[in-house]
Amino acid sequence: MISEIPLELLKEILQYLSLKDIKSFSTCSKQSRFRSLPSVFKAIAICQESARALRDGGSLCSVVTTIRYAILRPSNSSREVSQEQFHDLVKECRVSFDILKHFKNLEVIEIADFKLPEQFEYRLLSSTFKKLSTYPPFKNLKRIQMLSTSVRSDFSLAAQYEHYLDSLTDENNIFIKNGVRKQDEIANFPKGIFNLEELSLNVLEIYVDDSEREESIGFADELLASSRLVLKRLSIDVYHLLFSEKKNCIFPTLSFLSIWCGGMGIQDMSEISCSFPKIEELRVGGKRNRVYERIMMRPTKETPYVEIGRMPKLKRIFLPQPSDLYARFLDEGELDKTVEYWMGKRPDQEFKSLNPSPLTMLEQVEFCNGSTEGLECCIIDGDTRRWRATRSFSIRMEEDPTLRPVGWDFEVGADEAH
Amino acid sequence: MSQIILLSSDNVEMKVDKEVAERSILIKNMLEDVGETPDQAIPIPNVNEGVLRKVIEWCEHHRNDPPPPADEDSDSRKKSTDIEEWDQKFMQVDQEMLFEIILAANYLDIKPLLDVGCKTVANMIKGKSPEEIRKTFNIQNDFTPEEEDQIRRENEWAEE
Repeated sequence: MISEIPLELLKEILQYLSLKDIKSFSTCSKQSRFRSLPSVFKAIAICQESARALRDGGSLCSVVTTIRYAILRPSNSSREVSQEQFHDLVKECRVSFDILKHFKNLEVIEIADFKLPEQFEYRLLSSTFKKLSTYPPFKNLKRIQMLSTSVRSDFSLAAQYEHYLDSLTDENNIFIKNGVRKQDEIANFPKGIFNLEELSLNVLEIYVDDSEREESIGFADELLASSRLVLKRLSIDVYHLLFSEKKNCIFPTLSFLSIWCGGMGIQDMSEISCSFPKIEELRVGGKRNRVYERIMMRPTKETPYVEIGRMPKLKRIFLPQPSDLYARFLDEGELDKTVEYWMGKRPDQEFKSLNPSPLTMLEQVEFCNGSTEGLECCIIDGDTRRWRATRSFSIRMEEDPTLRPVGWDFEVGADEAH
Repeated sequence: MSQIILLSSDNVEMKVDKEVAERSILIKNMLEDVGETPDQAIPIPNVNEGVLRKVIEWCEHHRNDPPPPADEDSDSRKKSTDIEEWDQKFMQVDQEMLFEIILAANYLDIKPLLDVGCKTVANMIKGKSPEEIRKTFNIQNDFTPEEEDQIRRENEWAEE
């Protein structure tokens, strides 16, 4: 009989049912309630009522150790909130967060869309994150997810937490993966100091309105600047001071850099003069702005201050079109280990806003002799559409013959090189 | 075709094609461990004659099924409760037998049969009100009306 079968078999049965059906079964009797509770509560919404119920004990308490997903959902989700109501909300969130610390096996904390007026929301998030940052780490926590309408420096509090902060909305998407930090450092972690190994700032505008602008940029700055020494992966399409004002800034550990167009204000990145000695993969492009030129900038008469170190580890380059390589690597010897160029093609769907160039011709350039050094120069001349190389290499075209470059002239081999 | 003998919990011997018996991973592993087809009966201590016959009937019918895809995402919710016609008919038994088959399939490690059994029970719950479910499984409601209300409220906090 169903009341006698082992618990794991009941679980097997319930997995075929919708939550609604499981809830119905769970309402049948005390025994069915008790036995199906973990199946009912795989995810729990923490609101005023549920938080209170959990605090006061009772049958629900038995699930706190099995729940892996918690959604913080304030009971008020109206745009019209008075100061008083707001205080209540904050209080409620405090209670919710207090309860949360009992959920030792949480994997995801979702913070529901508050739908509050922005200034309230900021403060609410700020206060909740302050609370969160005082807790010992949930050992299984993989993600903190925010469905919020805005991005602001309150996120910095969450970033102190050594796990994920993942916030996704239509427009604003900020993703911070915290780097390795020693446990004892967390406690005394001063606000605004980050050691992120991975950082994506893919927001159209990191600030919400003009009055917030300075502060928001300051936040992005803070994230990037204070993580610079340990940062390994950086994706950015937002204006950043580091790239434009601080000359010769070195990112000593960065191996992946993606600056693909889109961000408002990215046109302000007039001078990118950072160096990336450990860079392995470079994805640069943009329709409006010739970002790639900045990245690969050489010191010239016009830009004597640019001083870019070699990039001896560079293996993969993604560019919008072949002409983007125009003369950038001439005589530089930076590409001695580069084995792949991807052009005219967006490498992935990381950024929604990109309008890739239609020129999809070259999939890959391979160097036949397998040499890892000695590519003295490889030029793609955007105007004459000629390849020149000092060593023999093969070019693998895309299968589609319509994509064959017409009017290209390949000259291969050291002797033939110009 | 080599045959083996299974011995039910109530000491009834049954001759089965080895291929059929090996639908049970438990038996299959056992035979692999022994190495050769044993002469003596293999005791199945947890399964009585009636249930064992039923299980063997299922295994006979499904003897040529391809092995189930390994490592199916067992955590993914919302699995289909569709059951093929023969299996549906096969599962038209009284509830006691149904749960016995599920237990036996679990013990003998016959995953596809266990799935069919669990789906059958799930279908008996699907779309029903608590009262209807109680009736179906003869469950005594031991909640007070207040307690039942409380359960309903709590259930609202459960999320997909």
